[in-house]
Amino acid sequence: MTGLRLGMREELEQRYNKLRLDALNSANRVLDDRSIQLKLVDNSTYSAFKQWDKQPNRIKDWDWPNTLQEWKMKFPKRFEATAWKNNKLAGLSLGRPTYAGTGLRLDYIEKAPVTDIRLVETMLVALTAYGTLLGANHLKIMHPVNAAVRDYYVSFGFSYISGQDCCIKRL
Amino acid sequence: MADIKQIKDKQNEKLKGKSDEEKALAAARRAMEEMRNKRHLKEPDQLASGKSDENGKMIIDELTPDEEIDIDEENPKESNSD
Repeated sequence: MTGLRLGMREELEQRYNKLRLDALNSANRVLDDRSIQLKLVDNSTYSAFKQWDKQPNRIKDWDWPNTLQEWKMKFPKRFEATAWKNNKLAGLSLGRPTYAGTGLRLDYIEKAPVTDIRLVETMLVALTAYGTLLGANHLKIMHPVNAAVRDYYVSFGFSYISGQDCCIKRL
Repeated sequence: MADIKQIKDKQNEKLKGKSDEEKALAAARRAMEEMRNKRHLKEPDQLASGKSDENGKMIIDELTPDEEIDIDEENPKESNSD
């Protein structure tokens, strides 16, 4: 990567990091449950994630640390959020704008193996704020892992689109 | 759906000239208000969404023009065929 491209990438990263922070800070201000806090990914995320890894009741054996680092390098406009409840890592999520930027995708979300957080509610508040700042007109939650999870999204006003295996909602 | 659109249009009008912080806060407040009406729903204990390969590894979806959807349609429909 040339110095110019690196510089442009860094500029984009800073610009969108400010929007990510605005979105998460706004969500933190309005969440009803004061024991919950949304944060960007940092070193504390990776060390807390070790508690999840290899837990038998995890629904997916996903390697979040590697993926988070890859997304940080590749997608400056990404949505990223970590949810903490009583200072314990309760949820992780990643997303990015759609092809033409008319929508905002939630590409990955996972709830901690043991937690009582309402993770979807929490993340949707932040996702809505970030999508608004990007000028998106819809949200998409990609690839729900099973019918129960899909139906849960639908109960929040999302419509399931089988051809894309996603749930979509007007913003 | 029409009510939400009207609320959003009205809000967008109010937000003209507002800072990003003010826009984000207004959107978060609106979303939180909507979430409060869903408190009766039980969230699945095990919850995840995302694409994995055949080995269960997280993979990056390729974005294509086909994924763009005309959200203004009354019933959102796929732009690609099944």
